[in-house]
Amino acid sequence: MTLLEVIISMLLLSILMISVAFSGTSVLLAVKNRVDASSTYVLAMNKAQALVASKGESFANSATFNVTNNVINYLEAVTGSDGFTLKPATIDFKKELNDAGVSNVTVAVTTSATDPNIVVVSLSTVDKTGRRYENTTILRKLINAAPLLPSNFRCSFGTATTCSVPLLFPAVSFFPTTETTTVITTTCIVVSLTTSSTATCSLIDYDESLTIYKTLEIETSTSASSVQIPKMKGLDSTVSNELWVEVK
Amino acid sequence: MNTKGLALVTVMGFILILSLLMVPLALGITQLTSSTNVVASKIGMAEARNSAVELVRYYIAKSATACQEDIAFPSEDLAQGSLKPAISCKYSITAWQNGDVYRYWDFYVTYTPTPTNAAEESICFTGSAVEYISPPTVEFIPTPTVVYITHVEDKHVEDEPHCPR
Repeated sequence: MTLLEVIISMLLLSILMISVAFSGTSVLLAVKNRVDASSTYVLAMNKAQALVASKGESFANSATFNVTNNVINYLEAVTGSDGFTLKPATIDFKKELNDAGVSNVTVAVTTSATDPNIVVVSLSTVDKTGRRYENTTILRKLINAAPLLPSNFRCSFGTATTCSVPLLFPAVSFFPTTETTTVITTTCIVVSLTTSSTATCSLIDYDESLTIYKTLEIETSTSASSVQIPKMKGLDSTVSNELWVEVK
Repeated sequence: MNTKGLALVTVMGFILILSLLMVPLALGITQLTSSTNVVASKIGMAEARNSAVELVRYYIAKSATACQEDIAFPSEDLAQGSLKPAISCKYSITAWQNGDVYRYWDFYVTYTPTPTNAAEESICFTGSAVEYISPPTVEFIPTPTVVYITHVEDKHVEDEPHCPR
């Protein structure tokens, strides 16, 4: 190989390498820019979704909720020494996202049309090129806030008596009722051996702020060995079943 | 420098440029992957919690006729891990004509992530439920049961001795 041939071959190799380097670099730069831009939005969406899932954990224990202007207002059932207490709470995802530094994500909160216990949180954002990124997180209320008798239900009906029973969850009304009618006093039946008689069942201990009754009162005019507990409607529209309870 | 050496240096320089360009690309993809894993684990946990509650509801409804403490069940497998439930009847209220009308249950469900989610720890979903047993209207016909879930909580398995291991 002559010197001229070596120079020509090196020249050709250099041209080839330079063209490969420039084209390869431009392709890689394009990919890198795309990944960088995508990661900005994908990471924001992931952060938003993780935050929604995290904040939604407390929602599982909500007795009742409503969605107003994309804000969830709910009553959290908090366990205490004397049963459940209801603590008003709010989840404002837009504010939470802003606080977390994710301001470019749009939040839409809706309730499910098929299941009243489900809230659907839709997240979306659009990048500079118009590409849309979307995610949806489903939050589910898991507890049933039915006005049930407490486990320590103890009433003695040896004679005519009035017994007050703090309900496990508060009641809105006796059932059946309509949305415009609230029944808080009804006739219930007590049985003593083989004789039945009527008694008065009332919902008392009214909480004005929540429009609920925390206690069931049973007033009898005779002794009884069993008592009828009527159906009651709870905060989340769960209805407790009618009971016939043995009493001493 | 001979011709082979020059060619080698040129190729190595090219590889170096490519490598430097690949570094931020690799970092971006690593961030995306770890971020996606966090989201997946959060959603997997929420789904496991929902499934645990439904599993407990089923086992309580199918439980024996008497109030009974500490009943363990085999594990149920989900895509993201397994659920091992245990339920325990703590109190009951007697119905007018024998039997119970309400039973008060505590439940414990240990969620163990699959080996691919080894970074996650086991969690114990605990809570309470009330079972309503309706009186039979016709003899020998099984009575329908309603299970009200009254509380749900996440705990570390080590903090709750009743959680199945």
